[in-house]
Amino acid sequence: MALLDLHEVSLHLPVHNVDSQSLRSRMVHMGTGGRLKMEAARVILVSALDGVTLRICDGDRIGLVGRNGAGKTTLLKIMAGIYEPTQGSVVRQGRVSSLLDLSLGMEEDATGYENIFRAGLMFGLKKREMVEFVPAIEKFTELGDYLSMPLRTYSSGMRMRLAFAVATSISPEILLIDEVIGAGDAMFVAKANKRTEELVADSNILVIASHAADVIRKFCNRAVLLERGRVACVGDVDDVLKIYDELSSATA
Amino acid sequence: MPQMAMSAGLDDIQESVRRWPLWVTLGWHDILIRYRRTVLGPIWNSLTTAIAIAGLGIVYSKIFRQDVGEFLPYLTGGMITWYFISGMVNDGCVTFVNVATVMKNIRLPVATHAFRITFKNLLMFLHNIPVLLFVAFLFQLRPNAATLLFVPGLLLTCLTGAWVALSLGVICARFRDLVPMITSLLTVAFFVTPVVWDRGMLGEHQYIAFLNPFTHFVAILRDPMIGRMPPTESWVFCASTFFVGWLGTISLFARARSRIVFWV
Repeated sequence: MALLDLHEVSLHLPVHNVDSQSLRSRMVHMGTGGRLKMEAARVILVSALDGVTLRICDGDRIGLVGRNGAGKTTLLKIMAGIYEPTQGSVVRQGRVSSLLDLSLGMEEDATGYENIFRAGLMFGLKKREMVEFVPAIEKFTELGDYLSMPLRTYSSGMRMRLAFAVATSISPEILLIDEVIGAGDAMFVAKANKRTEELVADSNILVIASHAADVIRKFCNRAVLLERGRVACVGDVDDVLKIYDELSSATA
Repeated sequence: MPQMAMSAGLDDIQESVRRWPLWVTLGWHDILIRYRRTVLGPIWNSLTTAIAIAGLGIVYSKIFRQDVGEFLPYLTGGMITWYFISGMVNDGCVTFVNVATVMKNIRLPVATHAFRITFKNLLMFLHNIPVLLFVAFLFQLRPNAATLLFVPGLLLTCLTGAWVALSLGVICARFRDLVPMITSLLTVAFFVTPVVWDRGMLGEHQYIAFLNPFTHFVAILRDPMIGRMPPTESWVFCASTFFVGWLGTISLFARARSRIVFWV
């Protein structure tokens, strides 16, 4: 049983500009008073998420919508456990896999095979699982001999194939995707869609952040609208998309 | 500090130790990838060391009017130890900065990145051992009782290197000025540490060498390798550095752990 339970989750990110990240500003901060001190100590605090409460259970396929900077990616990273909230709590049950950007933390100079192996290790696969992991990806990506080449020789479509295959081949119970479906050629998109449908059919949790309404309609049964780090509304896909549309056209 | 942060920090370190196959593999890949597309591969590491030692050995044995048979093993042991220690400090500065994309994509116990640095440097050190063995064979150095101390010396150096990579990684991710600062300090440290010269050459001013922490860490590893007994005070110093360092690192790490991903 998979579960993602976010309770009053807030994330306030300190953005250290060049100045506040350097030691000099710290020393200036220590050594001077008055205005300079104020300037030197300035750290911009961005409130990326503000009191988000969401309970996502088995079978929930959530579409995250919202304008740029609304906090969609940040929320996905909180769900993935990459960021820890500054306030609130996250309960996470089930194997999580995330496809947040195409790099997937891969090493440019390592070959496709080496990267698959490294990813398997990072996901914490056991030896037995690793034996199935590599051929499964080999087959799904159809990259053939390219898998023996360093990653830096790959086109973005090939990267997409590899990243998607790696992220979905560990049979995740919770799959988090950040608007990457769509890269790659038509044949691969069809294949990726099929894989996503299969994963969804296993009554797992899926969260997709996307601006594409048709992607959300296709895969999701609930939608969440984020607005400036807060949940503006949760509910039926069509209702939420309608509100989002109205919001977009109102401000446009 | 909240108790939760402390226990999460300790859990992270424990989990990192448990997942040793991960940092062992990544550390090994780091070396393989660095020498990719070279014919000799990691052997380059040993060759570079051998070339440096041959050059320094010929010139400095003349400058210091030392017997080559005495000087060369001393220099070799000292140099490979210095490469090891300074490598861990240098790489420790970028423990987290270098793996920013990994940290932003995959949830991993944070301390694994530090252990990977330590292991990578241990591997590079082991690649330099054949150079020492060759020199030992050339000058017919025989192993003795002191040689056995190599094992605790290496262990203590690695365990200290692990906290150095962890704490430097955290501090340097936050304060970027420290990276060039530490790099330049290390260059100076090489000349003021008894690696090429012997602390006996300082005569009555040997305390200068003893004030330098690097002296002690070089001593506990180099001296056993060339069949010398490391000074007792070096053991005491290194063991205390290990304990105090880990205590400080754990407290620093517990505070910073969840923030590191935003700094890199």
